[in-house]
Amino acid sequence: MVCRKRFKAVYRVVTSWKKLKGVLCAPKFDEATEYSYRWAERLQEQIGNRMEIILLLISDAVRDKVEKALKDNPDAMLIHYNHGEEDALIGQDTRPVVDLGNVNLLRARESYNMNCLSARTLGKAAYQNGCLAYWGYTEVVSFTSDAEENFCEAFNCGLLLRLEGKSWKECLELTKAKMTEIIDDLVKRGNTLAAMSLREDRDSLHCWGKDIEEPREECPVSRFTVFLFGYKTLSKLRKIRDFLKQPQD
Amino acid sequence: MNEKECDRVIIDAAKKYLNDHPPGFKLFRGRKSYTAQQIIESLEKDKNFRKWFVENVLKLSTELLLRGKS
Repeated sequence: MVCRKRFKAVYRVVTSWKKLKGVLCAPKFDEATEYSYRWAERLQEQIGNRMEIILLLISDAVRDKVEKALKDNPDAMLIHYNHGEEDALIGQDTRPVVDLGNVNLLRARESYNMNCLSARTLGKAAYQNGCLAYWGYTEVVSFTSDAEENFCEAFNCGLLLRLEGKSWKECLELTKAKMTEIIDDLVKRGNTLAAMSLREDRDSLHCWGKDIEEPREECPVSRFTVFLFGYKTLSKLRKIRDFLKQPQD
Repeated sequence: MNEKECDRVIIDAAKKYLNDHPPGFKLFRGRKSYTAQQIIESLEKDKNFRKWFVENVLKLSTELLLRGKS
């Protein structure tokens, strides 16, 4: 009995020495992704040697390579910086690198995402499929070019806190508090548009994880649809709605 | 003041504010990007964009008021 306890204590110490691993997927193919790519580069600098990072950048940020990297490194966190959809993370070829078809690859690992919408459906599906934590945004992410540094700080904050040993719940609370600080600073500087965008980003930031409350669908019709038919149907209906509500002149 | 008039006040203020922005300024929203001039145009022409913009101005203002910021 004593021997087993000692073994467990030693095992805990040894495993805590093991370096964290991450697969960083960052495509770059349009103006918005030039920014997300720069933020991913900055994140890499900020992480330094606290994490072993497998880089899947630009042409390497495609489905096959992401799947292979995740299969080869079952303990690695997936970090994705690019466009996203409700049910997909987008790659260099503008096709999904992770979607509901291969969401099981996120099982037993954490996923840190700086992309639009994916925390809505993909995040939930990932968490329900055994993903340890899924960090992302439930709405379209917006930002302004004149506050690039401030947005970078806000978007990278969560992972850096995690590397300090905080729980995902703490990371979420502290990141939102940091975002509020940045919003106030932007307002003081008269940068209202940036403040407005970051406020929306902050409110749509969510982490699917232990002890974290699920985001509630605000719209009662959406809640009813999810209750009756599930998120996939709601997602399809939203796509039809968005198509029908194209900008009108 | 009804809702439409309230929106108009916000849009007019936004236009004034955006006119002073440098030419390189851009607002990104997902895959779309807007220069200051395009934001002004979209506020007039694009119903969805206008709704998003006004809604977010109001949400930010309300939050700042509630937190006692100005």
